[in-house]
Amino acid sequence: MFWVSYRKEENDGELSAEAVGRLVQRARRGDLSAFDKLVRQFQRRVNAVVYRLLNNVDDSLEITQDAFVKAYDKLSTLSSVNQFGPWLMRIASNLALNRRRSRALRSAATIDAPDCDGRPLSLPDRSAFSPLDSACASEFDEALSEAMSELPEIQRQALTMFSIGKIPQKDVAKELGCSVEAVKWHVFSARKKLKDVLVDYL
Amino acid sequence: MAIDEQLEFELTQYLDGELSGAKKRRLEALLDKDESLRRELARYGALEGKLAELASVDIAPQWTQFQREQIITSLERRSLLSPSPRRRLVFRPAFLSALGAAAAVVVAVVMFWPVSTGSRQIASEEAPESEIVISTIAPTVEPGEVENIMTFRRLNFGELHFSMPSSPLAREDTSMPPGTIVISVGEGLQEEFNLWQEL
Repeated sequence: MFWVSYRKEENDGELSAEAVGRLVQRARRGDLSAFDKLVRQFQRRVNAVVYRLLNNVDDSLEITQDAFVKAYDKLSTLSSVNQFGPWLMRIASNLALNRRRSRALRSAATIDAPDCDGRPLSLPDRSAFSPLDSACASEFDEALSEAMSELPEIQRQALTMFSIGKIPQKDVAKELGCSVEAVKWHVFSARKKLKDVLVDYL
Repeated sequence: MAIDEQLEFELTQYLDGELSGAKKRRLEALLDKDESLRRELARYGALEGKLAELASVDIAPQWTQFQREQIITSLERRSLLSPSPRRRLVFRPAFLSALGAAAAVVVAVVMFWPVSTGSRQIASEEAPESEIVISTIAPTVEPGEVENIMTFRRLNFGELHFSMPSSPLAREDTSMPPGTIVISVGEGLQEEFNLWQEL
């Protein structure tokens, strides 16, 4: 959690779906400054969802980056430009779940093997921001994060994608390979467990 | 009132706006008269609000900036390496202009070739069929391969058929360098020039 900041960074403000759509159209024509604005707009949410799905800082940063690059490549396939946000979240979730599956396979194949993933040399120094950031988190936030980490994986994934990522349930169902009804039930089960654990805070 | 799991499920569905019709009216009636149910609904609402706030949890500003630069830089680098990755080489304007010139050369060859042989007989209906193929060794093609990009078939002097090779493109081995355009007429005549050196 030390990498997570609860300070709200100054941003450009929430853009309307129409404004997002206009940026998407410009980005489709190769305007990278328009795409940069889209990155600014959605970067925080994508990072949050991917981090909750992977629970790993390095993987989350990498997958978020990959999600934006993939989204840029696939912009021409987006049928409704105003739906860029949910579409991007779905790309990011899909990449995160794939990474999670491959990580599970890798760790199953090499028990006790050291992690040999190299980190890019130009990454910023984590120590520059870690203490302040964690101090900003409230007791409730920490309890919520801990309770979420205790949830069964499928429930946490469904809840993260639906409640944090704001991905429609039918899309969550596609990503998780289950029915919409099953997603509803997973989300409910996760909420109920969290509510019971956090009852003193609510 | 005891709140069973099904009723709790309906509370969350109500929060998500998924409940409608008779089910919604029944739940609202229950909420009107049961304080414990209203409290439970408020808890779920507060929890959902907290979960939604997690979406605005940010990575530290240094990382935000770094990540954004990485994304844009990687897109810029790719666009520099490949100015128009979605457009095939043969459809670029410069190439098309040169191709038009090449096509004009071919048409001229077809029109005057029978004359240049000194025999009008060859332009008659008995003239053998000849195939004129324009090929290119483009930089995007693997070394040693050639793409046939246009085919003309001359049936007789007044009739010229033109076709674009359908995918997959016909390819054959060649040792000519990338950028070479080859115009072949039948089996015997072949002209080569290097478009990229000309440009």
